[in-house]
Amino acid sequence: MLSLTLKEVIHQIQQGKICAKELCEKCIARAARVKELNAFTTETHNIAKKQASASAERQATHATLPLDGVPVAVKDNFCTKGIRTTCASHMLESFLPPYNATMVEKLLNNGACLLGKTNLDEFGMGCGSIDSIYGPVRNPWNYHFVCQSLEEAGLQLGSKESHSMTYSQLKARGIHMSAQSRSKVLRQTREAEKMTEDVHCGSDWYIAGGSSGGSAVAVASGVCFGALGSDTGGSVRNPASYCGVVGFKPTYGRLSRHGLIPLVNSLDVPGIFTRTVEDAAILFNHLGGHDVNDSTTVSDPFHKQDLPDISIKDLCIGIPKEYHSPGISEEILNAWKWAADLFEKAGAKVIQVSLPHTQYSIVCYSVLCCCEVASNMARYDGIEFGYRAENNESTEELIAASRHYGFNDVVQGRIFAGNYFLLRQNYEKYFMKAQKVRRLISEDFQKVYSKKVDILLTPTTPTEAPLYSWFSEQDNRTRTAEQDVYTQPVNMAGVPAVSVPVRLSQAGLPVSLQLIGQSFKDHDLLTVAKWFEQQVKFPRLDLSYLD
Amino acid sequence: MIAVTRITAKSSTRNLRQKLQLNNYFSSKVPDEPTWVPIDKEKLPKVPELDEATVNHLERLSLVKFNNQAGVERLYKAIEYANQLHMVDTEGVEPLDSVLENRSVYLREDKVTDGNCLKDILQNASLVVEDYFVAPPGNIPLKPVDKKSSK
Amino acid sequence: MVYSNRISLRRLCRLSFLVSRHNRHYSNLSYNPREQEWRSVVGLEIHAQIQSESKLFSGASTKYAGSTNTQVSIFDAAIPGTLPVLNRHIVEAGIRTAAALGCKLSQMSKFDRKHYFYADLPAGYQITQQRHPLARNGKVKYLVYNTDNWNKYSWKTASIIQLQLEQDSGKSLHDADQNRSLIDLNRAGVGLMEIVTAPDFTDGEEASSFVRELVLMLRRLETCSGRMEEGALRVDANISVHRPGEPLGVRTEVKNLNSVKSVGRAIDYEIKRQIGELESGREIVNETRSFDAQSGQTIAMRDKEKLQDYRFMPEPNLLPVFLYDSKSVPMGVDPANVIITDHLLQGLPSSPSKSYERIHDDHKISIRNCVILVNEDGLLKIFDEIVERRDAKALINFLIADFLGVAHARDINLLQCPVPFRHIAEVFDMKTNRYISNDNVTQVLELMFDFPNKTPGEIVKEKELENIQDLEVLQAECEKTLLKHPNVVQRWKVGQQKEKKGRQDPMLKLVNTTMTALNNRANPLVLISIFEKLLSKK
Repeated sequence: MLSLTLKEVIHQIQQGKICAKELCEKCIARAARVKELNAFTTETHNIAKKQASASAERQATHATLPLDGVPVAVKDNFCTKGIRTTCASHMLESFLPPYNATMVEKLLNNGACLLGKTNLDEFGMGCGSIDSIYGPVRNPWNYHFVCQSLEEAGLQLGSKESHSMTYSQLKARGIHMSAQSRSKVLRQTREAEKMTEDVHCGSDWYIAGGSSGGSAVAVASGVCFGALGSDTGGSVRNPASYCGVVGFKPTYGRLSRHGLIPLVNSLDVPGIFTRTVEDAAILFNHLGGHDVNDSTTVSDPFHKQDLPDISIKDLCIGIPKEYHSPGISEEILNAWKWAADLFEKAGAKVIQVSLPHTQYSIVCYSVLCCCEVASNMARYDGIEFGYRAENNESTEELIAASRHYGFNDVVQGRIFAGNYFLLRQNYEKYFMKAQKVRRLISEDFQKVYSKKVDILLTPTTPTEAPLYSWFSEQDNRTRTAEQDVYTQPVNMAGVPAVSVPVRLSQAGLPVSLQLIGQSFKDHDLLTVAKWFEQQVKFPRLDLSYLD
Repeated sequence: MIAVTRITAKSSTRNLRQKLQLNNYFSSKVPDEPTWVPIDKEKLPKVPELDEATVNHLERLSLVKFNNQAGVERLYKAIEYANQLHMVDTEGVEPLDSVLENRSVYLREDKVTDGNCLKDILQNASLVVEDYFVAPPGNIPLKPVDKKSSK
Repeated sequence: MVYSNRISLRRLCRLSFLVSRHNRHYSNLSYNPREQEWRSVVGLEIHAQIQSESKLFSGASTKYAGSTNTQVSIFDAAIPGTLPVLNRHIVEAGIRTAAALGCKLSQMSKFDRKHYFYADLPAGYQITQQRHPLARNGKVKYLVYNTDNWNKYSWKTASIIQLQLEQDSGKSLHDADQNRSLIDLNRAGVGLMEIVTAPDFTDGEEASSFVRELVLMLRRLETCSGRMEEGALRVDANISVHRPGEPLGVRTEVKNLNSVKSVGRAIDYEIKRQIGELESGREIVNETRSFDAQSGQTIAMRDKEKLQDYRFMPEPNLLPVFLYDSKSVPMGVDPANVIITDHLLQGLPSSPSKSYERIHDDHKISIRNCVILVNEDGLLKIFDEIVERRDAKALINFLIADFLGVAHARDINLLQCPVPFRHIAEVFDMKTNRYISNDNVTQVLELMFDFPNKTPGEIVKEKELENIQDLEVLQAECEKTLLKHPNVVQRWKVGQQKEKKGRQDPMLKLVNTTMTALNNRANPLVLISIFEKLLSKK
């Protein structure tokens, strides 16, 4: 049941073939099995069960809502009324929003069941989902689950034996196992070519990407059928790429940011994780539209659309040459080439185009992001909400102490740098300069689209999912600069983009590609993406062996 | 900089080439080589000296305790990185505030639709006294001059 | 016309009461010759709360003195994830004000963030319009006058650099006992207009006159209540001094002046202080000061920071405000997103200085009376409506001396006058025509307010207050009085011989006594002539 798509699930619930309550229970059970992936900061299973019951009642009377009974997850930077919303930060560890974000409200009003809030990089800063007070998120691909090992060792997860003695290599996962069981596990399950010993024993693993890693993992691991993330520089598409799911970032201004705790207001867009492109379109249909609470949503009419089957012959696909950057891996490059050829073989016109300012996009982002962060984080003073230090000498001492504890180094560093760039003497040199470069990047896209190019095809990330041990060798800023190169320029221009998983690499990790569309032509983009997805037939992750 | 996962199989590249040859490979529109322009670090502006006064000033404006070696180094790197922007010619280009800059802002009617939610407003505050938020004393005037000498 | 002394004394008391009511602006510092060596330069930043139901960016109420933190939306408290939504009415109020101050409206204006940490600023920044304000480059003509010397008045013009919309901050109350600040965010987010003037003023008198003019203008526009005592309008002053020919001096900022009088006093004190410092060889520090009304001194605020850097940055959550007129509005645009200015710019009230000029020129009214007339809410409208074919000077005297006293005593809001203006005119006519005596005017006015549905003529007839015209009756009464007060008669006779000029004192007594006996239903001048005739016979 959990390997169905969202579309199939909706259909079966509407038909009464699946009971909403049963589906919810299955998802909750799966969540327990994959808990060590650390995708969730807060589990709201009781709430989900209540919502599922309500859905079931509506099922019985044939008065179902469009998303009735569908389990979903929401990134923990969307405000959920009465449910802890932490942004994976000490600053908001006990924050209970008094309202629902518009995106959450729409999901719930359509009958979806909220399974929990997902893990992320603190305040959305990062591309690995490793900088969280709740610990890092782990990619389910090539992941050796402890419960799997335990079973093979004849032990039950949570049993007395599994907690009897401490064992250093599994300690990191909070699971304790006896030395005997460990060697048994190693003997029985090791596959030398596919996994190193570290990965196999759990002391190393592949990162989920970020910053919406938790949401990507929630969908990839079968815990839910759709999840919300936020995409500022690639925070939805990057983890979607690493986790082998569809990650869709709509046009800036299509989805409401009311209730989304912002990272960079002029770049943030709520994003959608699903297993298929069609699923993403379904959620998009129910989430899009003008919101009076968000002045950056457009009041253009928003129409729900199904994705038709199209003839690819009428399309012109652009291949921006600057997306072959120095850091790209062979696997990704070859997948990109293969996909370009696929389009061409099917009859589309495929041309090479140029987006000349691409390589500066990430630099531009680093400046604009730091500046906005410095501004957006100014509200965290501990007085109206958030962590408050024990300091009453002066307001400034109190605020500084609260922020020093509440924010991690990444956040503090960006605030510091951002204020530097915004100083009177630096404003023109850095902030305004970055804004000018942003205009050039945006115009790059406009120029290309004005020349009859419909869609751009690029890689999503320069590599497949990296190992945690490798990734954590460098700091957050360096990694962001490397990993977000292809996703970031899209946010600068505000155009829509979707990451579609294409195939598995030699190492068995997902390789994805990105399709970029024109502003406010989201459905057109998804239509092409759907066609592409049908061609590539990506083998989705199936963790049903854990159940 | 090439990021390589530790588990790339040795023969992958060779296998791939063979596969491609079998599939009657199109001449791909994807460029074979990286197209980025290498940046000559000599041409970039130098990072100005981050003296104690500047750092203290920044700390005062940011109210994060970052006035330490690691913090200053982080800042230095961030500025150095940002200096790459100067490689781009932006003569005659207007700054971009928002991609929706040509659209007019939405205007709300002047009606009371919010407020009256004291509980919601106060529920997340750590310290509340009689419905007020509480802060240590802020920017208050220095003690006034002796009143006898006043006019 | 000569009025009898007793009456004129009463008039004088009422007048001085009224003048003192309008005396709030006056600063009375003696002119120090040393100050001729110095030039003072003053610029103002005025923050005026815009009258609206809800706040600038949220739907919370703006009512004054609401219960603590009950007029706060989640956006006003800077709860994470909330976004600003602009109030149309406030923008329109800003447009009308800017136009009335002679400013040029910006076709496109944008919002910025101004960052600083303060407990009453929950977001850590204020949303304002630094770079692209709503309007720029206005001019305001204003009257500078001196209530000690009404002949010493002058017309000045001040330039407005810009008018911008911004958020007000919350209020922090200092709790000295517990050494803490208590924060109430009811005021946080209320819409303000910041009006920035050029440094066009030289002293407190000019600055405070300008503020008075501005307050009046805003009240006429109904965009701000102008009630400085409620904090609806606050003034910050930037003050510097320099010697003639030298460059401008270092300036200080005196913040939160909350009355017209304080504006004058604070600026004059600060000028003197700066001159004193410089003459003693010390330097002026660029700092923020506050004004202590009790001591009359400005005091430095505790601020370790040498220079505040607000790190202005564009507000990313608000799109630009575009203004169009009906000709330039683009096709197909959503009406919810645009402001068409045509109807806003029609029917703007004229400025107070224009009113002074008009009345002064058209009717030759003294500056003092012009000031009183214009400064009293609603009075000018009454005057304008009933002045036609009437003696303007006499009418003004009547309105100020007679009418206003009664209206104030009854706490009547003349903007919503409960009696038709023609009734007021009628009373004036009755007075002028001596249909009623001056002594009875007050009573008739009181009755006019008591019975708004009756004409004053009807009231006077009913209450028998009209002057007695019958000379025989009057004469009879006068003779009675003479008989009752022979000693007064004697004094009069003595007076007559001693001084040709003659104090009216005994006559005053005779007239007043007779008036009282007649219930003030006589023209004193007529009585005087009767008495003179009678006494000359004796």
